[in-house]
Amino acid sequence: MRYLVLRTENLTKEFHRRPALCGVTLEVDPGEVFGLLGPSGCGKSTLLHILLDFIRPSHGQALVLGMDCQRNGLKVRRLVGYLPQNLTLPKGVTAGQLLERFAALRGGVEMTFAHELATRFQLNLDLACERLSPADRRKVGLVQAFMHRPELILLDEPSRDLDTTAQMELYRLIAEFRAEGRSVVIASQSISEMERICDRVAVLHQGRVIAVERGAQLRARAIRKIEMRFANPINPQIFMGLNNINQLVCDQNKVYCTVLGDPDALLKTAT
Amino acid sequence: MRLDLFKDLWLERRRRVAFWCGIVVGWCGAAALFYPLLVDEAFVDRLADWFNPLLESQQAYWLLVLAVFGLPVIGGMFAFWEGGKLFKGQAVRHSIAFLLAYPLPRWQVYLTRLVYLLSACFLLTVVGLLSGSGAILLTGSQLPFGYWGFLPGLFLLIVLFGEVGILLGVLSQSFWLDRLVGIILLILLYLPYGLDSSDSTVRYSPLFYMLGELPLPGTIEVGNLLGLGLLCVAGGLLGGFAFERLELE
Repeated sequence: MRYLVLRTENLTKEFHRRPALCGVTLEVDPGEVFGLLGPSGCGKSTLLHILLDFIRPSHGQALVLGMDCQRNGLKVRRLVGYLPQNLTLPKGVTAGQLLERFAALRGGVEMTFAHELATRFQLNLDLACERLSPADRRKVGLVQAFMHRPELILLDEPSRDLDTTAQMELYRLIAEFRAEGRSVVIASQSISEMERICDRVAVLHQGRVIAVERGAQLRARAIRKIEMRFANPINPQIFMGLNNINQLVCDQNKVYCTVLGDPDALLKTAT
Repeated sequence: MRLDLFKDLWLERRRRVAFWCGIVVGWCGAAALFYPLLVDEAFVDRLADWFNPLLESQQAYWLLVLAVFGLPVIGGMFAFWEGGKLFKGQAVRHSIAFLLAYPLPRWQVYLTRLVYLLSACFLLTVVGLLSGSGAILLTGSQLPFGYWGFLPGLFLLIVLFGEVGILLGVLSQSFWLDRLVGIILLILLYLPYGLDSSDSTVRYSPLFYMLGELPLPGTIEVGNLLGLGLLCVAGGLLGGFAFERLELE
């Protein structure tokens, strides 16, 4: 039988009879970077919370690293790294002291790697937590998620608040972990991020998985609303020949349409 | 229990505890200021008779001011409020969820917070009784018989309030429900005062469990304390049971 890092079967969660997840079945292979893509409230964080046993599913089962995430919650959490969407840091300690506390909570963590990660993210460990910018707080969260070199890392909106340099560093780090055979599950609302770093992406909508795509195929499935303005009024006929254009509306020098997939042909025609 | 988490909790909440200790000290100071005005009032003796008719008016005053009204209300409010705040609110829930992402059993996180609350309640009770004894001596009175014997009962009563706060903090996110339950608790605590202490119906009041209906000078009502202690154990277990099932969204 194939070893899976993560496997959910018909995972369902209801909050006050309102479904947050509906029959989610997913599989993540070792060394895979897997994305959970969808708008806010579609169930991405709920799924991660079930995997960490913060909440219990109404139906279905989730196996993390081959273990039931409810029955073997402690063992699972020992081997998993997690970056929450909302990270609340305590006051009165420096980022370095906080990371040492996190390391002590987990046990057996080498601080040298944590310091290396902090250097890579350009995080000043001497700063007090209350003086950290949102980006720096995110970096503290990222360092604590990666510092024990977990088998599986769950990242909830990892690049939120990060500047471009830190984002690039994060993507490099994820690629290194993937190369070592470790798996990463990323929840995000950003298609471009998913395209860039994920091997496969599950698209969630209202708690359901509506598609599981290869990262590179995402662009081909994306629907974009486009508004173009020209210097002079134009003939809409020139866009009619494009087969991935819908809802085309022309108004003097303005053109509105929706594009399914790659907008390259539209842009070339327009220019 | 995790000592590091316990220390963090104390560091995080030390100002709040200090503030409430300040209120208790302030109450004792106010009691000392009003002592000359109120000590010989008839209603003081009448109220004190419900607890211990043997006490003279000076001692009755301090019994009422400290053990009956001051510490149970101030300490109870602190414990109820603090107990709820340990588990209620989005930021608190997020930090608990984050802790639980580490290999920590839920009961350890709960026990650490409960022990913090117990220690804070104990500190508040001791500060209350110490500053109370200072105020008593300042007014030239003598410490009431069995003054320090009130310590375990007062402590347990305040803890009980805190455990109800914890339970509400875990089960509900509504601050209105908190206020309602707080008011009901106060009524439960003081309503039986209007009744005759020889009537067995007053026994359901936790205050009577704490003080004993007729505490002998210098003695502690072990039976009543045991009852209150068992209530506290049940409250602690119930809170732990609720926390074990808490869904951290």
